[in-house]
Amino acid sequence: MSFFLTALLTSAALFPQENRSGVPIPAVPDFQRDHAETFGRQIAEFADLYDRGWKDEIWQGKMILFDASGDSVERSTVRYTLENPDKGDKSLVRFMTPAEYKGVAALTHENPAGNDDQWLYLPSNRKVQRISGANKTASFQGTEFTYEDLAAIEVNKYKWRFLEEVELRKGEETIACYKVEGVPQYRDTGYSRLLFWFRQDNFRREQVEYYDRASQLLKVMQSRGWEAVHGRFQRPAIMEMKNVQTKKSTLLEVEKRFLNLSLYKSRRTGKARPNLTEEFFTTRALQSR
Amino acid sequence: MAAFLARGVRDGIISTPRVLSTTASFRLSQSPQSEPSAASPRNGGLETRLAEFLYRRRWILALLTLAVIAALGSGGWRRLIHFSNRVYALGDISNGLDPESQPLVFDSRFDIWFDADDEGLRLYKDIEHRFVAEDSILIGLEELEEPFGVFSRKTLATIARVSDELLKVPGVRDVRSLTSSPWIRYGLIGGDGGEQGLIVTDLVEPAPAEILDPTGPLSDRDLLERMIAVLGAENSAGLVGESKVRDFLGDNARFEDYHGEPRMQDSLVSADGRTTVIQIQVLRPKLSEALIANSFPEHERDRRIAPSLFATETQTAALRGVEHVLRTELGLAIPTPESQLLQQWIGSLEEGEEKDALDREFKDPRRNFMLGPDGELVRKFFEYDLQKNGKYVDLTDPSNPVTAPEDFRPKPRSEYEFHSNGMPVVERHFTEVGQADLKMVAWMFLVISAVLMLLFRHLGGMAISLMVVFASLTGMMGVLWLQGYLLNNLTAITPNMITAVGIADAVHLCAAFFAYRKRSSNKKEVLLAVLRANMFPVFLTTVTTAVGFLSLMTNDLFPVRNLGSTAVIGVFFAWWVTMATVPAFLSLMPVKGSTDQSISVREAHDPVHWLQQWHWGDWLTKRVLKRRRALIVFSVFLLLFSCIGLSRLRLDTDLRMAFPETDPVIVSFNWLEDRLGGIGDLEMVFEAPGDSQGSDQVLQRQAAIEALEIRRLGHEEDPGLAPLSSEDVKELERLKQEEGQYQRGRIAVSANFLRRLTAFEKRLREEIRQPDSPLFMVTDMTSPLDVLRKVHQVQNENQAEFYRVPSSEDIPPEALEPHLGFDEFTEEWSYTPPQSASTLAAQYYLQYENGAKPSQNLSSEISSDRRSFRMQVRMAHATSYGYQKAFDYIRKVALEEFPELVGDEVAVAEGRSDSTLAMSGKILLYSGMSWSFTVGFAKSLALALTVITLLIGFLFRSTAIALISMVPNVLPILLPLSVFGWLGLALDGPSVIVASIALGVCVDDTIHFFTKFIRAHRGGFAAEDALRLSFRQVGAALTITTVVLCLGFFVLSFSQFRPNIMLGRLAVAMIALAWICDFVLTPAFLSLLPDHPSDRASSPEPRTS
Repeated sequence: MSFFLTALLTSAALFPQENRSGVPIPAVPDFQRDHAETFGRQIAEFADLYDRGWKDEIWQGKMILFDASGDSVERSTVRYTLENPDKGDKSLVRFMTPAEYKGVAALTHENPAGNDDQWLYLPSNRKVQRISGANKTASFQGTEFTYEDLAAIEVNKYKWRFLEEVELRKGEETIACYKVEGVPQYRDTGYSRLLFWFRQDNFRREQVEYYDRASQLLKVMQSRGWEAVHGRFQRPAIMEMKNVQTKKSTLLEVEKRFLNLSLYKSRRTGKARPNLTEEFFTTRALQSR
Repeated sequence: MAAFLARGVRDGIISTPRVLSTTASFRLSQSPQSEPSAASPRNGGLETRLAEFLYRRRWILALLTLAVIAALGSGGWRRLIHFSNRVYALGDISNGLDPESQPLVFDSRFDIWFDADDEGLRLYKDIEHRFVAEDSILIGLEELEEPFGVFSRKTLATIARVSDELLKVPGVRDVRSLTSSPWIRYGLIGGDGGEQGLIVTDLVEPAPAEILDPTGPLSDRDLLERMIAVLGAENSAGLVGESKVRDFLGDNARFEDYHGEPRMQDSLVSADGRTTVIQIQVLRPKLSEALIANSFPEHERDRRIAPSLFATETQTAALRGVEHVLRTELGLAIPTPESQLLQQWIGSLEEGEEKDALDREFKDPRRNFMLGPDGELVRKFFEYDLQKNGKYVDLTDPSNPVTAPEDFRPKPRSEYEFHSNGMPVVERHFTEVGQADLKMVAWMFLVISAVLMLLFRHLGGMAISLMVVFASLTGMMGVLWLQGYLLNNLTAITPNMITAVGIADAVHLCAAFFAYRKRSSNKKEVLLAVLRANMFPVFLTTVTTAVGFLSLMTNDLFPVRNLGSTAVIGVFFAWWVTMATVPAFLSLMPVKGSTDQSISVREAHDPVHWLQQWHWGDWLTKRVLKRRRALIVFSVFLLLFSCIGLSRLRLDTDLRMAFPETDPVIVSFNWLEDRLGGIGDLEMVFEAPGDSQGSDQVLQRQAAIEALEIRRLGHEEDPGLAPLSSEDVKELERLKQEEGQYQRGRIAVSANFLRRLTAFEKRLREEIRQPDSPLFMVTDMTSPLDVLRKVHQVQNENQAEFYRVPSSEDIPPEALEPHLGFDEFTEEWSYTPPQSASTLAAQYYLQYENGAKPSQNLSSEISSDRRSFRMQVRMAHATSYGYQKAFDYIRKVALEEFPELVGDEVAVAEGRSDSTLAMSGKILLYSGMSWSFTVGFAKSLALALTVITLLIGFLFRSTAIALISMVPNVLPILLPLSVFGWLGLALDGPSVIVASIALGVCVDDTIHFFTKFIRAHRGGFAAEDALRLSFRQVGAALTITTVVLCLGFFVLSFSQFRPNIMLGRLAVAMIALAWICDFVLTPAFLSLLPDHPSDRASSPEPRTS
């Protein structure tokens, strides 16, 4: 597996694939390197801008939850996301395994201005229940990821500061990164600050460190097995969140991914697949399975 | 060795000239034959040769001994410092002071108090290993005046403010308080135009200032709503009056439908709404094995001790931070002027990581010291505490306490008093108390110095005795540290014991010297006489004391074993230092006899001559012999009385009995328990043992079932799907059967298990309400059943009748059918299996966890494979005996009345029972400790007694004497203990180990007395004269050592650790009784021995009487 990943990475690095997405890469802004706060914010803004235009995404994969003694349980989910810049993405997560969770689905309408709207469907009582999305510090499906960690980063909700240019070591590889600090400026947060490692050439987030309210390192997230989907959008195969205090960790590992569905051919009709639509992200769709 | 001993006794003490025996263990035979001296006409005796050797080589021996001890002491200390630095280096836990100035001398781990093989401890560690390892610090406060009780704005604002600050303390994982607890409810989401749904928020969200504002986001009605949600309608009515509650709920509401939140009642808030607790979850950090191996490469013992010690120290550091937050609230943490300068300096630095790091260090509440701009140590806060003398003193730097200015008056932010408790507080208290006990050695030195001054009226004798003690202690501690051990609460008293023992050794030599030196002008002669007379008695008493301590090594508990081994080492050092250094130091003192004095040392002790002088012993002997029959009968009666009393003795141990009632920790313990019920947890772990199957295997099977089911259900609709062959059908059946079997073991989501457990829980709740139930101390039970009930209710529009564990009626008919769907986007078929009460329970857990903070999820109650289920039972204080009865009763109810729920492993394997039941928790461990002490006590006492009796029988070659020796050896031990039995008082466990220790000391007296008696008796003296002679020889010495030892142990009654207090008192009683027995009862028995006329002829030494 790791051989495969390494091969993938090096090939991607040596032969940058041609951009087949139809979305051009934005021009690098005029970075103000002598002002740490401005520069930090510019990096975060540009990283956000860099990743726009993918329209929709289906992510199918495993969540592996490790407890402190290394025992694990595995759940697999499929996640449908509709990109909706500035207005908030919409997403639907559906459990595939284990059998007892099969069919459980959660619908989220992100709301940049306030609380997200969320609904949950349980197949055992066939009920769709509105659930409050106020608690961003709550765990995502019992994993080490919280809703806060998984939501798209709203640049305006952080105070940014560039720290340094560093070589991040990941296994055999060293990656030139910008290390940037973000201090959450909203109340409902579990963190005193976050440290981001943005890769210098394509601004993907290689690593994030989360510091608890007591300024102690709480969690480290690393992304591995990057792929430039359609030669344009950087997506990791594995996201690993390690809680350094409790030693628990969660691995999100992709099995199948579609980015911008219209770029794929349908197996049935042979034509381009339809993109996800707003109708798909309604409580009615949630119930109809 | 024993043969040598026996011979030594006969040769040396009984003074029959014999050829010197040589043994490898005692290499004295290598010393050249000494010249005959005036003082030792019989130069062939072992005692003489040894004495010669000790005298001639006294300076070499003394210097060598002191050098070895200095090396051991400094080596041990260096090892300790090295170890302690490494532990500190494992993580950031210091208070900012140099770690070297506060080495980890003390073993603060809790688990040393339990038998390592104990089933309960194994389970406890297993729980800690499987679930997250953490302990809680509890901070209690009460509000008696406000009409809303702790739901008043004032209290909630305080709690919100303190909770928020506490979260900033490193090591604090989460704070559960009235404001920050999850509040699960059904209500309107999204304001107007929103919809009803399930809401999980913190109970009180607004900031402290907003809470205080009556026109702010929280109206009085909102406060009342939260009160009812937590306390329930009935309790709320009790607090604010029925009309207010009725007003809120409406006229038709049934109060019993609003039962509040069981996971908060009686744990976070009292039922009357007047007391609340802030529960601070503090991590016990886990260290990777690689880090441990790297940090402690040299010693296996370090690798074992360090992780657990580090975990405890980390919690202690967090506790410091918590206390800083509380002091800030109470106006007792005042920034120092230096810290303001420090803050300015940090503020003036250039922006960057270095500044940030300094800023974080400055804000770290665990750390009261940090280095300033010029590398100087800065105290950040005055952390005042009110002392007993009414003064405010900052004690964070023990070497530099700071007293507040006279006019200091704290300005608290709120007027609440905080009562803190919880395991980290108790564990730190153990350490503090142990360290205070160590300081008692200084007192003991003082007391004993005074006694010695009175005794010797000579500075030299006192100085020599103290030197012996100091050197012995240094040697003992050096060896202890070199072995990689630390002190614990029991071993903290070894310095006191060894002081007593060492003094007794040295006193024998010094007293003899001061007595003899008046009679001779020849220093060598005096010293040789001193050595000859004391060498063997001192050695023998060393052996018997050591046997007493050694017998502790059979105990199951580590601190007891450690006490035994440490004390043995100390006893050995005391003997060695006495014999090797005292002669040298004594030889520096002048002798006072004139050269022409006619009475030589030897003649002074001529028995016949001696018996002519008056002695108080004569009076005593006469009295005893006159009433000897009565005394013997009385002794036998006392023995019987003691044995019966002993059989009634009950040992009891619990945390609370470890400290006096006025102890602050006990006071706050009682405070919390009086208001909230029990704060001790019993863990009941239901477990379906057997093969849990790997996640992969299960998922593969489920995937196989899904694939087959998709083909079975979908082949008509999708021509791409092949219909099932008959083999496929069989395979599907087999897989489903296997799956069913597997699901049965997943008890946490098994509908059957949950139903039976609910019945069991109900049965226990009913039992608790019975007036004299064995479960009277149980105050509360919580488990994920509460979560299921709550989620089920909220899922059903909050209707009261749905507050129950879901069952099969809750599954709508259409959900009972399997379902096949096609996903047009992934272009795949998807199969949903038939739903059941079990899948509903599983989905409810998921829903709960999805809304909970990571630290509140169910992983601490349900294992990830769903095969173990934990129920926490809160218990109020009871004796360990009471607890044991309760545990047995719970087990009995489970096994007898709920055989389908709980059975043994066989029953579970055969499918007759769902699970096994294991119980653990610190309460259970502590009550099990009592049992360990009882067994250990009986074992070690029996062992010590047997060894010592055999030893005496062997030394004196007489069964009769061995039997007689049991009277003065046993009676003083049993009598005090039996008094506890007769009075029906429970004795705390650790104190009984005193029996083994006191036995060793009592035997000293017996041996001293017996040797003198038998020597005279076998030498031809009649019993009465032999007794009179014995009193003359050892009466004074025994009395003095008894006084010294009693004083030594008496000092222990000033300990803050209750077992040590009791140990001290019992030891005093036993040692004093031993003295009485030896002087009153023993003579009565000894006088029964037949005279030995034959011995008189063969022994040249005693003159005819």
